[in-house]
Parts: sequence; C-alpha cells; structure tokens
Amino acid sequence: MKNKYLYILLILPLFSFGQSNRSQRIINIIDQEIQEVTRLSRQFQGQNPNILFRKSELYLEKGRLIKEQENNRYLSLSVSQRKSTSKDSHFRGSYGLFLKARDEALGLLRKFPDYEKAGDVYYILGFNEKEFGDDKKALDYLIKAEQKSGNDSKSKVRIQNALAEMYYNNKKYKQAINYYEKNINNKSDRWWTKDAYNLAWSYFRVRNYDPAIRYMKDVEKLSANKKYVDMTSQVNKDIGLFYAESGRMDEGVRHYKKYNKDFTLELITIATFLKESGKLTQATTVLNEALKIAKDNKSKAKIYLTRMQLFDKYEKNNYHLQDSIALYKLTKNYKLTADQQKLFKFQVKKQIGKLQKKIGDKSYQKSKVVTNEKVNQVVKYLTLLKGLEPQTQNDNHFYMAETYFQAGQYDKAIDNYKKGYAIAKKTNNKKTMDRSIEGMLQAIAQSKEKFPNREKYYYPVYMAYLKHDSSSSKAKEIYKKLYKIQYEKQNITEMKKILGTFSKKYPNATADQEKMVNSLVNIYSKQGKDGDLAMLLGDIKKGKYRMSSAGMKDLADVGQKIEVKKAEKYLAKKDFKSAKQSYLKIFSTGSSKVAKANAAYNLMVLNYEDKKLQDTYSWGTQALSLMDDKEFTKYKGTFLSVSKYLFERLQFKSSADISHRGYAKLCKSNSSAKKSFYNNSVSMYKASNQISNLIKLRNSARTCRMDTKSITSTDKEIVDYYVSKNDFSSLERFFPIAEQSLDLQPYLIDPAFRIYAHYQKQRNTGKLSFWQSKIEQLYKNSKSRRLKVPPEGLNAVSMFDIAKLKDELRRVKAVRLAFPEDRFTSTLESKIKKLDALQGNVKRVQKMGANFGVAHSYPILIEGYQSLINEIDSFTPPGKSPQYVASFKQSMGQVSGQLKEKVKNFQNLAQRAVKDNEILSTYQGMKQTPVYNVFDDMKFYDAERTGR
Amino acid sequence: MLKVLFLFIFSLYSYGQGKLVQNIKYGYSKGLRYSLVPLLKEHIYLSKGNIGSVEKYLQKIILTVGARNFEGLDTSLLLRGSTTSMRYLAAKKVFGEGDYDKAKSLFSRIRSTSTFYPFAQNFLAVISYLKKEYSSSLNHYQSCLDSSASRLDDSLSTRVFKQIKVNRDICIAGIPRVHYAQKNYKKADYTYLDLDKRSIAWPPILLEEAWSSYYRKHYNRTLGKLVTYKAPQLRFVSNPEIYLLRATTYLRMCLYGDVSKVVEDFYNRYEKTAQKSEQLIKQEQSNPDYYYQLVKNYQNESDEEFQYALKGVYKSPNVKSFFDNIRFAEAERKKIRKVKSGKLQSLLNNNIDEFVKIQKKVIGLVAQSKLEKHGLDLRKSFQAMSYIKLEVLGRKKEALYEGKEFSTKRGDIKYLKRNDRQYFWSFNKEFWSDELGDYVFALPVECPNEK
Repeated sequence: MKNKYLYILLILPLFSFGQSNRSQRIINIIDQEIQEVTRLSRQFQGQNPNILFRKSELYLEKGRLIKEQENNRYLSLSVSQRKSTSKDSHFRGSYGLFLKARDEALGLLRKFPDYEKAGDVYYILGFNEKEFGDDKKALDYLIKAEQKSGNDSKSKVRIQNALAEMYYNNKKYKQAINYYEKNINNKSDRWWTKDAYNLAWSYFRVRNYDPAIRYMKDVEKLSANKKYVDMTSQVNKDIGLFYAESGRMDEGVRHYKKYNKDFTLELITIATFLKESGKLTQATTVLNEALKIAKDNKSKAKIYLTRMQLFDKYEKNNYHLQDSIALYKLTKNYKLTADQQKLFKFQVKKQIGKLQKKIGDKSYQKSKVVTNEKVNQVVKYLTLLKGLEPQTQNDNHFYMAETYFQAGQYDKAIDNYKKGYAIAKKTNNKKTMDRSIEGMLQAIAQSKEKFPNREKYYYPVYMAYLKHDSSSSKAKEIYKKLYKIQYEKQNITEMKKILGTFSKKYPNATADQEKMVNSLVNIYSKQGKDGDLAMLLGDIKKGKYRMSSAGMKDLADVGQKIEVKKAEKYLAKKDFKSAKQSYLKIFSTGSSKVAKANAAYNLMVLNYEDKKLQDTYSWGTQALSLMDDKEFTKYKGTFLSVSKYLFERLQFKSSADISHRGYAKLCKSNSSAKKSFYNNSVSMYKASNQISNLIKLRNSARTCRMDTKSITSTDKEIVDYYVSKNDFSSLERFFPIAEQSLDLQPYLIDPAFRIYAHYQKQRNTGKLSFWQSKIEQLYKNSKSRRLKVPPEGLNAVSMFDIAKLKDELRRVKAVRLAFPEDRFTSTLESKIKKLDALQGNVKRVQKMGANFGVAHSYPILIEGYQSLINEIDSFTPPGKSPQYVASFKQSMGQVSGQLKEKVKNFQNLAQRAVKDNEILSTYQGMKQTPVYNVFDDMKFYDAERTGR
Repeated sequence: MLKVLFLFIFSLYSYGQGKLVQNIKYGYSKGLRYSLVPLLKEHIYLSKGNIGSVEKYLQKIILTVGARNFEGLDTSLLLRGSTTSMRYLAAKKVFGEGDYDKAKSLFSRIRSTSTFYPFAQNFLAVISYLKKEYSSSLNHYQSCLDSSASRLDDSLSTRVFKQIKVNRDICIAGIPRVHYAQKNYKKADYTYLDLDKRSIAWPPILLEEAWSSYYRKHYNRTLGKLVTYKAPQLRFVSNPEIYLLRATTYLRMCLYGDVSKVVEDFYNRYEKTAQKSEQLIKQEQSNPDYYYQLVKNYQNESDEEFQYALKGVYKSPNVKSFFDNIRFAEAERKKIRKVKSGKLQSLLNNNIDEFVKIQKKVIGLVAQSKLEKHGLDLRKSFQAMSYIKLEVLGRKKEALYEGKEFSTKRGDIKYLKRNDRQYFWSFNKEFWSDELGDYVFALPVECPNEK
C-alpha cells in the first residue's frame, strides 16, 4: 500500500474542482476502491492492518470531497433557506463518512496497537477530527501522530506542518511558529511558500513584525520560481498591512512603489482590515495617506466611500457629512460606478434615517439646539439626496414631515404630509401617497399629551384616508373609527350612511356590522323609535346587513317580545282570533324553545275553547314536545282534562297519545297524575287496539316506577289480547315479561298451555318439552305461593298427569302372566303392586281438583284392574294335569273375584265424581280436542320403541 | 489398518521366505503384477534389502505399478539394497526427503542400460535445475529425452509405455523451463514447441509459455496463450494464475477496462468455489477416503468450478496412474482365479484388496493436499487481483486529481471487447487441438509512453 495516496488525500482536495463532474468521478472511483479494499480485507480475514488503514484513508478522502460538494450546495442557498434548516443537516453525507473513517482507524489501532504506521493512522484521525470541527481532539491526535512517527520520516514533517497549520488556524500563533520553524529551513518542498506565508502571518499576529516582513519578502521572492506554489498575490495584498501595523508605512509605500503601479487599492484594503480590527486611527491614517497619493478621482471616490463607511461605523456624523458633500462634488466630474452610486445613496439615506431616529430619541428632545442641528443635517442630506435621486425631489415634503414627526412637531408634520400627499397625487406617486397618509394616521395616533390638537385632525384625516383607500383592511378600521365618532355624537343619519357603505364594502364583516347595527338598535330603543327599529329589523331580515346567528337570535328576541306583548293584549281583550294569530306567529318565528312551548300550549287551550279536536290534540303534542318536565308539571291538570275531553269525544288514539306523553313527562316524578295518565293510556290503547304502543307503555313501566298491580294488570291485558287474537308468537315473545309478575303466574298456565297446544298442532315437537316444563313450573310456583290456579290452568296441568297415568297403565299391561308356578305367582304379585301404585297416583291427580284429571283418572284405574281380571280368568297353566288346572282355576277365581269387587267400587266412585264435579260436559269437550290425541300418539311411540 | 496389519502378520507366519519367493515367481509367470506388490514388499523386508533373484520381477512391477507403491518401505532398508530397482527406489525416497546430494549420487549410479535410466536422468535434471546447475540440467534432460525415446517400442506393456512416454514429455518440457530460469525466454519459447500438445504434460506448459512471452513483452502472444485455456478441452485447468497473468498483462498494456473485467471475472468464477473448498477442507481434515470419493466422482459435483478443480486433480499424471492401478488390479482377479492353490488364491485376493486400499488412500491424500494448495493459491490470487484493481483505480484517480483527462479513447473498451468476443466466439465450437496455444492477440498497447 503506497503512501502516495496519503499525499493525494490530504493535499490535492484542498484545491477546488473546476468541475463538480470531476469531483464526482473521483468519488465514483473511491467508491470502487472502498468496495475493492473491503473485498481484499475479506481475503485477509480482516487481519491486514495496511488494508484497514487504506480503508480509513478512503473514507476520509471521500468525506472531504463530499463535504466540498455539500459546502458548495450550502453556499448556493439563500439566507432564508439557510436559516430555515440546521446547518448540520446539509453536511450529513460527509459527517457519516468521517465517522466511518474514524471508526476504521480506531478499530485498526485497537486491533494492531503496535502497527508500524500508527503515526499515519493518528494523522488520519487528526484530520478526521478537524473535519468534525473538533480542533482539540484533532490536535491531540496530531500530537500523538508526531510521537508515533519516526524521527526522520517524511510523515513527521507532514505531521509537524499539519500541527503548525492547526495552531495557526486556531490562532495559537506561538505554537504555530514553533512547528513551522521546525521544518522551514528545508526549502525543497513546493508548499514551502504557503507554509512560510502562514509563518509570516503568525509572527505578525504576535506583533513580531521583523520576521513577519522578512518571511513575506522570502515568500514573494520564491513565488517567482515555478518550483513553488505561487503566493505573490497574497503577499502583495498583505505586506502593506504588515508595514502599516508595524508603523513602517513609509517603508510600505516604498515597497509598493517598487511594483510601479497604483497601490491605492492595496492601501484601502489595508485600511479596511485595520477598520475591522477596530484600529480606527490607523485606518484613517492609511486612508489619509492614500488620499494624498491618490491621483485620480476613481481612487478618491473609493477613499471617500471607505471613509464614509468608517465614519458611519464610528458615528462621526460631521465627518461623514463632509465626505458626503466632497464626494457629491466629485461626482460632478466623475461618474461613480453603479455599485458606488448605490453605496453613496445608501449611506446618505442611512444617515437621514439615523438622524431622524436620533431626532425622535427622547434624549434629544430635551435639547432643542441639538434637535435643530440634527434637523439641519437632515435638510443637508436631503439636498444631497435630491441631487442623487432627482426623481425623489417631490418627496421632500414627506421627508420633512417625517423629520418633524420624529422631532415631535406633529402639526408641522401633518401639514407637510398633506402637502407631500397632494404633490405625490399629481405625479401619481403611489408610494409617497401611501407613506404620507400613513404618516398622518401615525400622527393622530399619538397621545393627547404629545399632540393636544390631534382630535382636530381626526375627521379630515380619516376622510382623506378613505378617499385614498376605501376598501382595504385598514380602511375597514378607519370606517369603524369614523362610525365611533358619529356614535359618540349620536348622529343617526351619518351612522346609517357609514353602516350602509360599510356593509357594501365589507359584506362579510359580520361582527363589525352587527356591532354597528346593535349600536343603532340601542339608540332607537333608548329614544323609543319603534318604527325606525321595526324598519331596521325589516332591513336585517331582508339581509341588508350581515348578522351572526346569535345576533339574529338576539334581534329576534327583541321582535318576539313585541309580539308576546301583542298577544297578551289580545287575550286580555278576549280577541282570541287575533291572539291565535299572534301565537301562531310567535310559534313559527320564535327562536326560544320556551316561547314556542308557551305559544303551542296557548294554542292548544285556544283550540280546546273552540272545540277543535284535531287542533287541540296537535298543539297539545307540540306543547308536550317543547315543554320540559318541570314546566309540564305546572300544566298537567290541563293536559289530563284535554285527554279526558278527547276520550269523551271518542278520540281514543289522540287521548291515548296525550296520556302516554303526559305519563312520560311525569315518569320520574311521584305525582298521582302519573298513574292516571298511565291507566288512561292502557285503557285507550286497548280500546283502539294499539297493542304495540301498549307494549311500549308497559316496557317503560318499571323505569317509571309504576306499582306492581298496575303492571300486572297491563300484562294481563296484553296476554288476553294475544290469546284473543290467537297470536301465539307474540304471546310467546311477551311471555318472559309477563311471568315476571308473580301474581300473574297462575293465570298464565292456560295461555302457556295454549302455546303448547299451538306447537303440538304445528307438530313442532322441539318446543313441547319447554312449554310442558314451563306449565309445570308455573303450577309449582303458584302452589308454593298459595295462589289460586284458575280451572283452565288446572285442566292443563292434569292433562300431563293423565298422560303419565296412561303410560303407567301400559307398563302394567305389558307384563304378562306365565308359568311355571312360582314365576306366575311373582308376576301376579308384581302386577297387583303396580296397580296399587297406579291407584295412589290417580288419587293424587284427583286431589288437584281439575275436572279433566278427575274425569280421566278413574277409567285408567278401572282399565288396569279389568285387564288383570281378564288375564287371570283366561290363563290356563300349560302342560298340567286337568286336576291341577281345575285347582288352579279355582284359586284364581277367588283372586279375580276380589279384583272385580274393586273395579265395581271404582266405577261407582267415578260416576259420583262426574256428577259432583259437573265435569262430564267439559270432559267430553276436552276429549275432542286434537291436543289430546296427539299427546297420546307421542307417548305410545315412546313405549313401543323401548320394547315394553 | 488393523486388517492390513493382521494380513501382514498372517503372511509373515504362514509362509517362509522360500515359499514367498516361490509364490512371487509363480504369480509373475501367471501374469500377476498388482497382487504381488505386498509379497514383494514382504520379501524386501524379510530379506533386508537383499532381494536376490526377485530383482527382475521387481523391476517390471515397479514400471507397471509405479515406484511410489514401494516408497512406504523404510529408507534404511531401501538403501541396503544393491540392485538397480532398490537403488532407484532409495534414490526416489531420499529425493522426496529433500536430500538431493544423496539422491544425485544414487540416481547417477543407475546404469544407462537400466530401464530406470530415463527416469533417473529426469530426476538428475531436476536436481541440477534446483541447484541452478542449468547446463548440467539441460544435459540430463537431453539424456532423459533420448533414453526415453529409445525405449519406446511396441513390445512394452501399455502401462510401461505410457510411463516412459510421460517421462519423455516431462523432460521435453524441462528443457525450456531451464531456459526460462536462465531468462533465456526466446530459447524457452522455441523449445516449448517440442512438446506434443496431446501430451498430458502440455496444459501447464502453456502457462509457462505465456509467462515467457510476458517477460519478452510479447503481451499479445501472452494473451493468445492464455485464451487457449478457454478451449473446452482445457476448461478443467483450474489455475488462478491464468487470470493473474491475464490481468497483469492488460495492466502492462494499460488496458484498464480489461484489467477490471478480468478481476471481476475471476472473482465471479472462483469466489464461491474458494469458500466451498476452504469449508470442505476444514470439515474433512483427516479423511482420505472422502477425498478419494470426491475426485473419483468429480462428475457428480454440481459446482462447475469445483468440478474443474476436481477434474484437474483426477487428470494430473500421478493421480491418474493410481486410478489406473486400481482398475488394473481389479482386473487381475480374473487371472488369480486360474491359480491352482486355493490358499494362495485367497492370499492374492487379499493382496489385491490391500493394494487397492492403499491406492485409494494415496489418491485421497494427494487430492487433499492438491485441493488445499488450490485453495491457498486462490486466496493469494484474490489478494493479488484486488491489488491489481486498486492499482488501476489509483492510477485513474491520480490522473483526475492532477487534472489530466483519463483517456477513454485509449484502450477503447468497446473495440477491445468486440475483438475479444469475435475471437472467442469463433473458438466456441472450433478449438482445433492442433491450433491450441498458437493464438496471438492484436491489441495496441495503450500506455502513453509505450504507444
């Protein structure tokens, strides 16, 4: 890895590239180099320090090139663009690369602490830090680099020169001198002239002028040799300064004379430098010296201008004015360059401005003499300006006005502004017109103490302004000010005029128009000018003036109040027709809810009086919807009467609606009227078959804390309704609500059975078990609460019991008597036991007291015993002797005889029960219901399936 | 290994020396060669080098199976022998051990009438070459060449004929190498032409020729030689040096675009293969059988470049002869079936087993070391290639920094590529074997000072 790269890297990029294209091409090559070095490093498995070093170098090299590009881009931005972003954001690319270079170099040193070229690595690190702007770190690294490099190495020289430059750039000139001096005797390097030039400046900075001048001369001498970097122009520029600063100006002049050319420019440059170093006297001396030797007007002009800048900076106003006048005189014979002309005008204007500012400064107000002197100076500068800018001569009044303004002489100021304005208007000088009128406004805006006469000027100035500008945002403010003046004078005519103009000019200025209108309304109200007020309101309604919705509302309230007053008057006079019209108007135009509610209520009452049913009802609902609950409480009696009135006139729906709404209003209250409204609603809804509304009403009952009895009663009504309509699906939906009323549960058994029967008819077996359990549960609940179950309910429950008894009977019959003897005996015993059990269950069913149960249970029992009797009588033991059979039949005859007695007894009981309970007809009727048959089929099927 | 040891002990105790010699003679008369190698080694061992009448059989068998099969015997044992074969074996062994003086003395004592004479001359030429005694080296090569040529007659068995022929070709190639070492490139170039292109020794010679041309600054000839490696017949020559020389030549000609292209081509062609081969060698450190299988089945290798590398190993003269040994040894089993004694038959079959096993192991070891070297060469070549590319980039950058326009017309890539491609295109299916290595490029040198 050759070290020539290091040389290229650190020296060549210092030159700016004529073409960014070339720079980019180098960057492209560096990218390829980085890629290749990375690949190479991989081949060495990262164990070759030379390659790592090269990589670091490449990153630094690329970083510097990228930075140069970034810098060019940054410098091409406008000041505002630069200010709007952080500077760092423009240098991110190079920053990233410097970081990489640093990381690579540090990584290398960590991995190979004894690396032979560690000095070079530190050198790279130093340069890198310099690019980061961390000079302290850069210096540390360079010092380390110096320590690590061999004594005679070329690297050492390079590092020491870099250190010298570093110190030089950091203004540590003593250290810079120390490092430069280490190698300055070796003049073989082409960069010697540059190093010596820096060394000369270092000596100059520490005020050691002799070696400074000596090195400058050496540099100048060697620069003539092509072997060295040519620093001639820099030396020419600076050496004069060295002489001037060392107090050897004569020698400096002699030195410049050697060049045999006009060196005024160099002297001016030196003076500028001295000026910027704060050495005013020396700068002036150099300029005076320059003025002495200046041969032509061109140089003199430059000197004057430079001195003017100098005097401007150090506030030497008199000298500035003197040079300004001198330069002005010079321009009679010499034409300044465009830039100089610009600068001259700028200086003159700046002085005018500064003087005006000073005039306006309080400290000068105390001394009239000083103020007058400044005013005189302004006048002189204005004269110069007139010469410099003839086109501005018409503005003199304006500038004078400005000066008087600053001096606090506002009457004079306004007078001059007016004159200035008038002249400017003739020449159509818009700018001066604007500024003059603005000046006038500023003058009258002064406090009364400062300007006691100001009010005198208000009207004329405002009017003048509005003539000048009648539609800008500023004009808008002026209109408002003028309006205020007229309002204070209570000048209605002028106010209306201004409002009219304003509303046309600024149709969207709602708030301002509103304020103006309100102040007019205010005056009208105060003065009792109702007619004018009504006209104004009419204009507003027509949209002549723009108002906000809130403003409109306020105005409507004003109108409404008038209307209410009117209606009340009609009522008092019993002119109901007119009163009605008034209320209708209030209702349709009224903006407040309360007013509308009142109007609707009054309209309801008025229609009630007129016996207009439909209108009464519709205004009643309007009033109800507008009234809040509290308000309604006050008028609930009236509404109850209205409801009753409508009911009596067979208006069930209307009556129900009013009651329902009334009930809703009282929902949270404990008023007794609530129950009345509720019950009325229930009755009216039922009467008008409005079941959905009835349900709605019922649903709100608990929320509105209605008593359980009312709720139960409503539920019963609803259930009855559905039963009467055979609407089982609605009934089923309502059922869960209804069964919440515990007292209603016994009553619900029959409707539940009807749903059951409905599903049975539909063959919808899926729901049957649910409803059967529901019926049983209802019955059980009723029993436990000792509630009386209606007969229909009992019948329904007993039907399920009868089915169970029949099932039991089938099981008894299914067991057949058979031999051998012991089996016969046990089977017989078992059958008799089962029949006993059946008898017990029959008794239980009968006890329940359902007609159906009583009627159907005895036949089952009788059938059970009868079937056993038949079986015994017909049984003959198989394979037995005739004697045995005879003996068997005899004994069995006795058994069946006893059973027959029992059967007879049951038959009697059954007949009596039918008679006692008058159930025959019911029984007959029930028997014919399809329910029963289907029920039977179900159970039979079950028995066969299980093989019994 | 245990089995081998067991067989060895078994044979030691089962047969007396007399019986051993009897069996060798009997076997030889039956046309056996490969199955006799263990018996011969055993005889050398038991006779402590004084092999007596077995010498004539040993000579023939060395020429057939190669001396390397006997180099496993102890050097001191070999040095004790006084016959030509024993001397030749001893000389080869000490040569391999780096004792050139002793080797030289032993080889010199092989008489011109001996079958081993041409081989001994070859070794003597190499020893002189290594000692930079170039004139002596040339003499030995010439002697090697003459004696080899005079022994090549149809009466020789195919294998012996082949061995002598290869020896002759190596000696032909040796002569220009001596000239090259003496920087007598012109002479070297001239004498390279003596080697038949069909020879197994020719492909590496081509590269040497290219280098010779390079040193003679005949860069277009160098490129022409190198392009020959693109011929389908030579694709298996997987030597990174070819690319290196090509890149260096282009660099010499300042054809920087071509340099970069060669570098990229090289990386593209070899980077994956190098990684694969390095990884493989790391994994299979002491498994000769693995390498034997790898080389044997090189055609199954999916990575094209690695297949070429394996093919290169397979085709190298010494490895090839071991593969031939295996083939012939297996074929010998037919002859063994004709041996009357069942016991001897079994012993000889075991010997074939042992012989084959050793051949495989040697192939495995040689392959491993060749692949290791190949990997190392690749690694070094990658580095060299990167340095070459960096040199090119550095030159370009320096020119830009100095404000010199880096010529784009000089070394016009388009022009060169077109020429290059056209040239290659016509080769694609028409690489005539007799033209191989005779191509010459026609590119202008683009360096400012050498134009």
